[in-house]
Amino acid sequence: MSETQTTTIVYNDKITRQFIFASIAFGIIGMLVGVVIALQLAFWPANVGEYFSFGRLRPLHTNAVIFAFVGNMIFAGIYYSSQRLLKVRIVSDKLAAFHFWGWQAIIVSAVITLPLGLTQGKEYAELIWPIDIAIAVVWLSFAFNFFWMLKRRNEKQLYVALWFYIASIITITILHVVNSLAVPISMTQSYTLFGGVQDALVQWWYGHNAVAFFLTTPILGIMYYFVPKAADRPVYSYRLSIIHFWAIVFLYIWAGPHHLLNTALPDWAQTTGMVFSLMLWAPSWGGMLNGLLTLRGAWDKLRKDPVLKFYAAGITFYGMATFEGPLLSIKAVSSLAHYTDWIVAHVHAAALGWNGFMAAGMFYWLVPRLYGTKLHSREAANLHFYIGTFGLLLYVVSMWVAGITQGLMWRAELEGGGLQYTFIETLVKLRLMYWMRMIGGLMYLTGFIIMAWNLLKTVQNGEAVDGQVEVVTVGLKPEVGRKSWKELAFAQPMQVSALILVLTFVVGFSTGMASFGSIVILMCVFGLVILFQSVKQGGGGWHHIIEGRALFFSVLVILAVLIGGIAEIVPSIIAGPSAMRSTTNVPYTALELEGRDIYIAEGCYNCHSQMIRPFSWETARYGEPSTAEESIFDHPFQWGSKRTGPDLARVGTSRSASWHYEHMLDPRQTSPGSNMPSYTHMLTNTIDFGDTEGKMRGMSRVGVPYTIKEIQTASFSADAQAQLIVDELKGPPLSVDVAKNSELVALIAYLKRLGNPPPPPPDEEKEVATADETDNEADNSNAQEKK
Amino acid sequence: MLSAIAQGYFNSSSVLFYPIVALLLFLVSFTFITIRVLTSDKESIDATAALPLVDDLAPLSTKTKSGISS
Repeated sequence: MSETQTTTIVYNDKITRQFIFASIAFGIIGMLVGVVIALQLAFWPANVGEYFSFGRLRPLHTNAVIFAFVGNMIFAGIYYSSQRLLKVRIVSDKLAAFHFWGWQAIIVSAVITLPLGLTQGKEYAELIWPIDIAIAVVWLSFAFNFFWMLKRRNEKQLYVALWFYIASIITITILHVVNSLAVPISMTQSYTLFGGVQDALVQWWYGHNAVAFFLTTPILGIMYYFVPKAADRPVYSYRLSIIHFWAIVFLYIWAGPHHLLNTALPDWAQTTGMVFSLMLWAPSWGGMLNGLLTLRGAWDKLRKDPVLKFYAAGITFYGMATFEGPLLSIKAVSSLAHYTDWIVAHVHAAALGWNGFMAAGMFYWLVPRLYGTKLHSREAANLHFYIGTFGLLLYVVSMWVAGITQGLMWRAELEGGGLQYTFIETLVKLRLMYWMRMIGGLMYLTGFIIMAWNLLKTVQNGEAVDGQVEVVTVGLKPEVGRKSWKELAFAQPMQVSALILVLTFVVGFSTGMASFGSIVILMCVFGLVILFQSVKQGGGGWHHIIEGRALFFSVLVILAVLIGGIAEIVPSIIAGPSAMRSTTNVPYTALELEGRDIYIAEGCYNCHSQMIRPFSWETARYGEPSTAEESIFDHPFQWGSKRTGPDLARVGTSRSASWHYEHMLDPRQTSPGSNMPSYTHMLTNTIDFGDTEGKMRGMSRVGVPYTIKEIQTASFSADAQAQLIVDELKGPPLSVDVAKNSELVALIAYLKRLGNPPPPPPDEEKEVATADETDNEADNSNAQEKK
Repeated sequence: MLSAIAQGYFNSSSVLFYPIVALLLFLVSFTFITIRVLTSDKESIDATAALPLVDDLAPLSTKTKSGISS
């Protein structure tokens, strides 16, 4: 018999304090950049210079608010609540400090590189490859410390908040690593491993699940911990929270393709994305109701307590956003809403309402406790709440109006055929809404700054304190500790997981109806057996076991998450090589590739799509619907997600070099009313064609079938094609002299190519360079240079 | 009739069984978890639900040496 011993544990709350203040500081910066880009959309002269144009600042805004503001906030919440739920101090303070300073260094790197145009061109994953590696290292340091805490915990049961944290940590690791796979071609540039439709699927599998597992599940964990704390009563239904968790983890991972509805993505993937998005309605609302009903009996406190006000509003916005998300995932609704400001409204209702208000609630609750004092001004917190809510509503409503107006105007057709409005007419119509959005955003930011002042005063009134708890350390072994590994290995969850894995592989390699039918029958039988067994067992069954087994629990989460990813992405990867062999498309020329890099660096994809959907109003405006084959060599794909400007998939068929020249230097000259920035710097910025060969070699390594000759003569061919464009510009109507190696010439070459590929070369000329040949050829070149 | 629908569906693409399998997987897992949760022991559920409400000791000033004391 072991002797009972009590130990007093002092928590590391310093790390929570650090993350809170980093979150507030970067929140202000991120939102300020948001207000600036909102101003740029309403008033184009606000695009100041090369480094502060909309295309470069918009990724800075999204990265700052997602990874800096919300990221730091969730780390603060997780460190604070995990220590208390596990009754253990952070195992390594040094690792936690490395996590904090490493994360801030990453954010500072983003602040420097994004305005410089150093980007991978993948939405919400723009940061260049060295920063991607740094993110992986810092994130793993956090994961390591967290799981180490789990291992050394003094509380046997894992509270539901911890499940959400586990799922978030595991899934973000997988998403980040897969989506960041790329071939570097220099210290600041790389080409993603995936191309075209594959990249679209991977990117939105990442993008959607970054929303799910970075902006939603950690905050749900925080909700399940902090709302009961603030309301001083347990969560409304712990049972519902279990169902909420598993349903969210299982369903969310499948929903990514709803960002690609009505595009060239295979229909089955679109349908899967839509169906799973619709199914998300139930668990999301289950979670929302669970959060709101936790406040039952405490509604009177809402009038006085700003913390509960923010939580109630935050959870309500979560409900609203998770109602709107599945709605937007219905194909017919998406046909109207996609590419419009409706999506912007949806995103900001969630980001400002759910993330922003939950963060504010948590900060107002935590900071006084972390400094052993009271909140400096409850009135100021209430003012923050009202000004923030009003600003948010102004933002969201104006973008709803703008989005629906935009969608309806785009599709308005005349009775006798033809479009009713030009693109510019639809844009000009939205100008007032863009101003309202900016004012709404400014009000929200003002509220946030009031909070920063209030919390700073609170800190000045108090003194930093660390929480402590007395725990029983000996004799407190989880009940599950008595279970042998053999019992656990053959427990029901493992049987289910094994079956799921086997089925996934079997289904992946079979095509016949017979095998499919047998799999379905097998699954149903197996499922029923498990159900009957579990009901028969009564309480203390397998779920109780896994709640006490962090490793076991984590493995199940990995399986639940991987199934969706594997089933959606693997088929497109399997089909990739055959699609590449049979394509009649031709890779970009050396100069077009350079132009494409400029297009990505300037962030053109933030306002222009390259995906014409199969609707009459789209084909009438832009041309034939886009196909998967057309973007097969695009690493990364450039389908885009927003049309502040028109689609560019076939711009090469309708615009001349001189039109592009005038348009890039002064967009209002060719398109009166346009809010596009001027890109005069492209006239003076130059490209070193000596680097083009390396870029083509990099493209070849990710599967683009360049011939050895094309790679070897990259510099020469880029120069020759540039000369043709320069000669064209020298002639009428412009008669201008442009440097051959200017960025503008390369960009014009790329834009003229869009929707306008050359005919495929005869088969005998296709001497495609393999990766080995590319390497050997590169080695030979280096050796010759050395000689 | 069902077989005709199924044939038409699967003729479009051989990978179309993925969404069906996905739906079935979800259905089985979700039903399994729901029944499991609804039949679980109330006492242990309530005890776990109360975990965030466990009170800490009075906080310690950071000016005092922090750590673990037995």
